[in-house]
Amino acid sequence: MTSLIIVSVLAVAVLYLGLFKYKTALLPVSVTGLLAAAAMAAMDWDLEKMYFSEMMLFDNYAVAFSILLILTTLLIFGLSRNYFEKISNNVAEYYALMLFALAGGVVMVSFHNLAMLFIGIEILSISLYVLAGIRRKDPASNEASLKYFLMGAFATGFLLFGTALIYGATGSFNLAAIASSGAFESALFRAGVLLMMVGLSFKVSVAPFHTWTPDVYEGSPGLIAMFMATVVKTAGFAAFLRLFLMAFAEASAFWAITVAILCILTLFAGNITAVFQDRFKRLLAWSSVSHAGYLLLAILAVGFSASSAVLVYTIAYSLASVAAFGIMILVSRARGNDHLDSFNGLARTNPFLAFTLTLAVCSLAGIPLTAGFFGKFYVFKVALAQGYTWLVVLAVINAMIGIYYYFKVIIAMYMKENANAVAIQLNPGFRLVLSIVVFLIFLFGIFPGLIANIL
Amino acid sequence: MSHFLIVGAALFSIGLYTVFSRKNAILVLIGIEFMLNAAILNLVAFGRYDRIDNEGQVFAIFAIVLAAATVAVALAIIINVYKQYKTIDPDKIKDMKY
Amino acid sequence: MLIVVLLGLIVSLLLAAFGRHIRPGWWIFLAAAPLALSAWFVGQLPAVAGGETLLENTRWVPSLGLDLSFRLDGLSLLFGLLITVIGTLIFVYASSYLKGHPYIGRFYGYLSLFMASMLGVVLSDNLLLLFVFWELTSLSSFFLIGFNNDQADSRKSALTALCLTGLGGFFLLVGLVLMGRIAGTYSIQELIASAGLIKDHPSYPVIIALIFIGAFTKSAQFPFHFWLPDAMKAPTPVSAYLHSATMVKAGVFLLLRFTPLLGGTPGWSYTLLLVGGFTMMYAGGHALFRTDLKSVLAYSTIAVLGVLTFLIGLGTREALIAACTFVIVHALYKATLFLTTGIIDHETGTRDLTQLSGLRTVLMPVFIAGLLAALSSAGVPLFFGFIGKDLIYEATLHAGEEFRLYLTVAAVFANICLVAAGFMAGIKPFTGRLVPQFKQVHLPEWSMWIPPLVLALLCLVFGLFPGSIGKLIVSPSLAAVSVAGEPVHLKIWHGFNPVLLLSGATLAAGTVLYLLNSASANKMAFVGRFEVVSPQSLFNRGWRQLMRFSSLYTGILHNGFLRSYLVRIIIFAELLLAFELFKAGPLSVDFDSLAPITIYEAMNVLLLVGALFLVVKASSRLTAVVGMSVVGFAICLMFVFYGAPDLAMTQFTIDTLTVVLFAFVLFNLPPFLKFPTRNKAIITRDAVVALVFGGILSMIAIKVLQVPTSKEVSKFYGENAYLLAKGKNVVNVILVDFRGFDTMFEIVVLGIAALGVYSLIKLRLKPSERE
Repeated sequence: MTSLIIVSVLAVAVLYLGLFKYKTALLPVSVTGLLAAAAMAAMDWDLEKMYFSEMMLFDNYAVAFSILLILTTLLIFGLSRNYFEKISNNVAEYYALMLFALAGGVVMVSFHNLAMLFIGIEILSISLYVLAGIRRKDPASNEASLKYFLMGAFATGFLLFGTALIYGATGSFNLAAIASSGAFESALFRAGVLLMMVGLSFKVSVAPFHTWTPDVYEGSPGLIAMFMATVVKTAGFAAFLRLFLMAFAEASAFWAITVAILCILTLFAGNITAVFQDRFKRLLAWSSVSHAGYLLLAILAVGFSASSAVLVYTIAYSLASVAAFGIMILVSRARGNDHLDSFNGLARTNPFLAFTLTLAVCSLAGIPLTAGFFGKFYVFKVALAQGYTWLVVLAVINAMIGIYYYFKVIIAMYMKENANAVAIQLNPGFRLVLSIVVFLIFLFGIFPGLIANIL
Repeated sequence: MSHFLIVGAALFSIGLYTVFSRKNAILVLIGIEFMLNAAILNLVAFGRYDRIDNEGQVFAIFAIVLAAATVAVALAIIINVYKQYKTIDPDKIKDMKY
Repeated sequence: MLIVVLLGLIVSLLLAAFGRHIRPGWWIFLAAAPLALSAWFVGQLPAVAGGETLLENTRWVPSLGLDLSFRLDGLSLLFGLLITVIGTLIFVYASSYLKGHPYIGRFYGYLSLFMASMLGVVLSDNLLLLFVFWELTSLSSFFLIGFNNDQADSRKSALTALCLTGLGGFFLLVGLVLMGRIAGTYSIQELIASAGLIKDHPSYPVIIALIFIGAFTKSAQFPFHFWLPDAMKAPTPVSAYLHSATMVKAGVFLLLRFTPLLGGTPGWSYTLLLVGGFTMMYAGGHALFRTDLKSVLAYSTIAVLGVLTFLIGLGTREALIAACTFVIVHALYKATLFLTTGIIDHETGTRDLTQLSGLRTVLMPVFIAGLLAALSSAGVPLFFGFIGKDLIYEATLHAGEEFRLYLTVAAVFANICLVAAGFMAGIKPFTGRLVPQFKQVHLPEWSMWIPPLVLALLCLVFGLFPGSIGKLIVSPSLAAVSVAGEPVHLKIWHGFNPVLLLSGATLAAGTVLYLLNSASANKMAFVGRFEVVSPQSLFNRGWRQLMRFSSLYTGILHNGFLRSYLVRIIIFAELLLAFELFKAGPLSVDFDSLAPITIYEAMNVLLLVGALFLVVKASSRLTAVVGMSVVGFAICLMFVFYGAPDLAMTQFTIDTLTVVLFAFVLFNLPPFLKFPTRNKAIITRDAVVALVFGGILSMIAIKVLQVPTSKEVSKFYGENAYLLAKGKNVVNVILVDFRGFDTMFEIVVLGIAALGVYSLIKLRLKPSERE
């Protein structure tokens, strides 16, 4: 809870700093604040504290995901030096809005009441609508913002309506009360669950509610897209799982089939479209859709191993995405666009970047010795434990398609040449963050026990 | 109570219809407002059974305020889009696809 | 053993870090790594031959069932020796084959990575560990196939190979996890101990199907075989090492490893017999039509892999002896032939069999190596290949009464093809007249021609002393794959019997076939006509279709039209809800149970509906805003009916505010377009979609009456609130605690909204930003 307060206060503080033109202080203050927030979150470990009449519950699940969200934001901030300055004069707003979004994310992973879920999602979403469109002179950014908003608000409508129906059926917004209400047979309750599922699926870009993803990722500034792909997706899935685990687990028989259908749709929708993308950012956007599919596999397996699987998967996915988006930003800035051909010959000019990106896409593709492999392995394992063999087989076919398009960029870097390419300059922030990411991808790929046993 | 649920359902559906049939971002926004209002109506309707906790009404207040905040942001976005594209027809704003 | 596996990885990492500092001539010294490893394996020979099994277990991720457990038994030793001995020679060979190549450092890095992972595969005693290394071999193979980066073809082949083997790998993973779940352990030893459990389990067919796909893709069995000929785009030392001697045998290794665990059932045997048998005949026949030397070798490799699969399917003691022996036989002669091919390619610049001839005069030592290997491949007595072939025939002849004939015929056919293919690769380029264009060809450095010669001599030496090979290597391997029996005695001479007769006939027929079958482009073209129905072109066509479908699908469904996105969301949500409603059973509406409607309520609803209609049809800005405000106020009234006056007040205030905001913004925007002429069909579609949604929701609302809401919860919650929030009056608790908290977050949201509006619009434009 303290961490949530720190993050919110930090956002306000950053705004004030911006107001008084202490631009150089922005980054150090934010980083220090986030470190403090992560530390405070870690202090809540094993305390299982309820706050505000059971509206929020800081159990280990909440703590683990909060720390993940905070640290991912920290990595993104590490890349952001000199980034926002190029876009706008009012840098403080970026930091403040991202911090607010982070606060929303923390609420989303620690709610114990549908009201808090709704508020968390709204805090996160409203900040993002603004962030997506913050490059005001850029039509693409505006388009992204408009599409994201119109569809996002639409999905919020579903979410809210679903919440209302569940309230009607069970008489409460409290997760424990809903779980013990025994109203699982009523049509009202089922419709409510389905409508909430629609709303949440939208937020985590599960097909067929994913259509905004590529357009919004493409139009938004690179770092914001990175934020959406990592923090927002993690928070969304953690909230999704928390809701279904703590409130609807008993009724899993009826929603499992729907989740299974969504899972297949998502996997195929993401992968089939990703195979022919030739721009890296869109490719990553589509691949992020397919990753939502793998994560749904874990949600099917309600139980403790499910939360552990989602945690491992989101950690691996966030790390790899930070690296992939980061290098995409560098390359598109240096070579003018993010077309796959822009990556040609990167292994010769920037061996470190090429190696990092290779590691990142291997992790996304699920190649062993990277963190991503254990993410995939874990979700497959929990899904198999529930007897979804056919579903896992379909997922595996998708993993193959994934290898195909992820390795296109490796091929560009290592097996194609570009005689004119010059080495890309890295600022120290990038170098540091990418090195940390490489280290962690290897560390968790070789010692997955470090993250697999947290929950 | 059913009346209100049906009114809510109708309001929600009309909101839906407005959202995807009108070629004007402002009207789409109004449609979304209807959907939210429908949900809020339901919250209050169900809240009637819950006189002890009043949770429904509390939630409704949130939702009302959040909806207003959303509208403000949305209008800002729409103004920006209008500056760039000189139109607010979502169908004409589709540079990004595939 | 951990260090044995890790050595290659360490070398590879060191190369990645310091590779660019190594001087051109020094690469050959990297061969010290595989050499040391092979020395280690040789050192273990006596112990393992004495029946010992070395075990090593380090905890890794116990919660996932993943342990670093390694096991050295006969089978792993056999493969370990192949990997390291041939590896040493390849390392030496490549140092001059790729001399001066700009990326030679990368090459050795990938090669070391491969060696480490392959050793990992054969030494693992844990299913998951095995899989980890299995995937790493695919990965290093990908980089090595695509190593010649000036060719678009080689990139494509690399990706095809990776996708196919990667797909197989993931299938394998699913199979392994299923097995592990059933038996409750991922240790291969423990699994073998509880073999019956898995064989009797209902998902046994699924498991073996998954494992077969993994093994078949890796070992290039029909219909997944086509990646292997394509993979010949790799530098020749790679083809020799990965794509004939070691990596492609990983599938065979896996099948051998699992024979005691899964083998012996009809499903296992028949599948392997059919797939292996078909592959060996199909690929054997194909090899004869090729004109590219490496292509001939690739198809003959596939044929041999087919033979091995076939033998494992047969599953008798004789068959398993034959399989273990033949793995060695093939690795030795095939690696030799690849290496000689590499020299020919390197020195003459071509691998075309129709052009190559008479090279013996200029490349004598290479010719000797090729000749010895070809003879071993043909199964000429005194060569190791002779013993291998004998064992195969012995196995087929001792098979069950009813199949014996078919199996033997198939084996003889495949072997005849292999004899001819071996001669084509090992003898054909050297015989005949020396073409003038090759007069200038000269022998390469020693480090290139010594390795094939060493391997070729091994073919001969092993053939002369089969007894010790049998005792030291084949017997322990057999002990690892089946119930131990008496030790294996490999003999040069079995006496006159049907096996010898068959061997002789095979040799004769193969030689005749070789002499009659001259390589020509016409024949290639003839085979090419059947390409249309080959698995490769089917796969390619399927893939192209997928791409076309993908682009079509994306073009239609992701057209950037916001409204079509939205309609899809709604339709899907409707389907979900309708399905749920349908499942919930028939709907009976009891209108009497509906509460009576008061006149005020009715009036209010009328007001609401009227306003809604106004908005939907609005063609001017003002109507829309007025309609919207009326809707808001109508809802306020409803709140009043529901006894929520404070809520009504809030709604009233906010609604007024919203309307003002809207009005403010709207009049800065252009007026609505005059009602655009819209397609009737689209309007109808939209209306239907919306009506269906409303209908479904209403039906659910009506259903609510049939299921009374539980009030138990509320009571429970009230009690809890009392305890937790230490309040005496629940309403008080809510007002103080709940609303206090809500308000805090509401303020946060409002703050964000304000900030957002500010940063989006920037009410005061800075001079620099003014247009």
